[in-house]
Amino acid sequence: MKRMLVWLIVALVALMLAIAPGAARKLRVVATTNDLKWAVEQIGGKNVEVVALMHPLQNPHTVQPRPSFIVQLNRADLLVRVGLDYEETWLPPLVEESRNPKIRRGGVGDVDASIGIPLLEIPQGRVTREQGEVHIFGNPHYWLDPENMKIIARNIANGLRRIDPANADEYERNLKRLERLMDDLLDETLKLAAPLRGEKFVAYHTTWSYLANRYGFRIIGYLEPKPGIPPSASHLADLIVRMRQEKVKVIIKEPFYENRIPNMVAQRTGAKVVEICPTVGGEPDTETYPKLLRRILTKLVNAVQSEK
Amino acid sequence: MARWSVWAVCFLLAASVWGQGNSEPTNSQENELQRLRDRVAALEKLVQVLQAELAALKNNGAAPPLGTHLVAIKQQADEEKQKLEEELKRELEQQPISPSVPRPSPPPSYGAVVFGGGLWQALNPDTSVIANFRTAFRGKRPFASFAGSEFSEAELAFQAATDPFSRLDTFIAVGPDGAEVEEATLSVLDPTFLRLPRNLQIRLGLLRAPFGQLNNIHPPEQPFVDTPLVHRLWFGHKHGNNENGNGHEHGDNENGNGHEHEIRPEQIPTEGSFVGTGLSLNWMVPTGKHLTWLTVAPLNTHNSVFDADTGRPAWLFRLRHMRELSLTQSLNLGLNYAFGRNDLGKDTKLFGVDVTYRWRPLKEGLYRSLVWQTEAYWGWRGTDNGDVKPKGWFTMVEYQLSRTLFLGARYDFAQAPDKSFSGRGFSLAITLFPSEFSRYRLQWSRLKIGGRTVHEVWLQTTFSIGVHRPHPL
Repeated sequence: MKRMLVWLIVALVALMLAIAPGAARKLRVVATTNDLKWAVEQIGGKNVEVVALMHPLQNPHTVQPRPSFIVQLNRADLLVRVGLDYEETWLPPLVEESRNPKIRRGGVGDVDASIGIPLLEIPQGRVTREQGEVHIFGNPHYWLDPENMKIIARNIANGLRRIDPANADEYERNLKRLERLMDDLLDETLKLAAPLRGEKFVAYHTTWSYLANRYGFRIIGYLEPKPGIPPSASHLADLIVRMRQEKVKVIIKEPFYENRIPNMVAQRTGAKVVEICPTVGGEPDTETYPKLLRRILTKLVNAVQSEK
Repeated sequence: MARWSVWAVCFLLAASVWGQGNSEPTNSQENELQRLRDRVAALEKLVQVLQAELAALKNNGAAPPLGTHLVAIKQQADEEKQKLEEELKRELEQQPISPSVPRPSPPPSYGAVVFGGGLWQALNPDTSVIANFRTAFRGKRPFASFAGSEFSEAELAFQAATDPFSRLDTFIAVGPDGAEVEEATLSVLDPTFLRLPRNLQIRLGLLRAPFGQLNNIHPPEQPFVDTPLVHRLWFGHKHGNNENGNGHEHGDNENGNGHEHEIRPEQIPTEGSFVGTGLSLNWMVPTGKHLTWLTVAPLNTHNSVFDADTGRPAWLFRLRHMRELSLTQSLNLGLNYAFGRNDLGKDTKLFGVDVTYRWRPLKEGLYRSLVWQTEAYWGWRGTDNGDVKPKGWFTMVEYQLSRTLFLGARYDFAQAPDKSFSGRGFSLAITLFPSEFSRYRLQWSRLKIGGRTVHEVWLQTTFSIGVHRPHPL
């Protein structure tokens, strides 16, 4: 009986040792957006389990946190955020409330994806509220440029290496692969977006600056007079006159902005309103970053060509 | 000869190994080179196009001076712009802006009240000023008499992390009666350095009491000009000083007979918040998608319910559960209990429940939201002649009509802590937020206090400058 008991214990210990490596849990990563989630999945591969906090159809400036956000943050090994002041109105109190020191600013599990991004529209001179809800560090909508996605990926790889040095080589390999993928995507999309070169657009908000910069088109005005300030009649009148003068034929709006004012302007200028979600997963067939970029550019190209 | 043969074999082997080692990389390098060549060629084309564009832009830039025909064109454009502006104004005023595509509704969430908020300053604390101005008309009929304007208060906030483990939040209210520290809290956010579990949060200092949900929000940021009656009567100034300085002792009915006595509505303080000095321990339990918090706080507090001058702090217990109903809706439930001593040195107990429902649609979240909040309190106030059992409650709803416009309604009822009188009120408020940093509010209230009815019309303007952190959940 004793011998059986000994064998049983030995078998149990062996079983535990055998299953232990397999039971090692994946790294829990929380990304604030679906775009970052996609990048984390590319770099982390099978080692990570990623969730995104924001819904792709949500206005990033008016996110209202849910209890599950705190639960996810409480359990996170790594938090990947767009940074600058993109999530500043809702994320800091949640991180604080999550009671997870790893993901607090400067913590081992805190990844600011914006580090190293060549930023556009950095306010010059004194910044005041007169300028509206201005992004004081520069435009934070930087992910719609494949070159910037490579920097984002590098920041993520650095974060993963910090918390999981055992798999550092794998993350580096995945990073290289993603960089090649982005190079190819850039080549492909530069050709796809060739008809956009030199075209002029009007947008609702400053979401598209990096895309325009990369693919050579111009946003000549915005429906919002200043970031975060609702459109006024006077501003719209100015904009309409300018659109007529410059023959702008396309207005870009995100799904979370209302349609009435873009339509009102479109009626008076003969322009077409194109609704585009700037985030992975916000529209059908945009579940990956390359698909998102192709879809955005295809929509713009189609809109430009249909207006010619 | 044999030695030569050995050398020859070695040489051949080395050559073959070297050859193998080099042949594969050569192919892949060739591919990589070709890819890079293609890419450089594409970039060259891009540079050419950009140069052409730049040249075109430069040529356009050298525009000739305005001739008479151009002046005429400019005049025509100005007229056209003016006409357009008037037309757009009319159209914008016709109906509030709302998302044109109605969605099958999942609605909102809840959460952080953001006023200002959002910026960061290196090492300096986040510093902000919220200025609150109010004008009141008060009488038996709306607008019957002008009760006067007042600069209600300026709230100065200084907030920053003190070190990697804690943060300090200080709020100073400056009003006509002087300056008063409204809240000064050190929050230990990472208690692991004390070898305590990380899900425990410790707060020390002058705190907003963990009793009910609305009490977490500073009065200038609440959805009405005044706080609910139950807060005003129970947690307002202990002796009910009104804005004109006329004192009134709520607690003069020590026998607890509950007779209504003479009190004018304007004698009730406009605001009341449950605050105290002490310690708060908050334990968070994540349960699936939901959250539960348990808070215990011994606080020295001076108000119409508890009086720490009797030598004992009030002990507060709050169990809060937050449920996620969908991507757009959440429900917050709270159970509150407190015990301590009142100004008579007798035991007093409070029990409270609170429910908050929040809705904000995903796509239309900038334009639509709803918050419904109800809180009810019951008290057991010890007196020489046994317990007096006052109660009070309020229910309020705030609906967002458009990007900048909110409509709120509130009904509230409260008995004085000694049950010497009771009051009930109904309020309607419309709030305009031109931006995140300014707010204009018009509120009408009908109050019936101690048998007298009064109408109040309030105009409130609130401005925020500087960096004000979003409120916690």
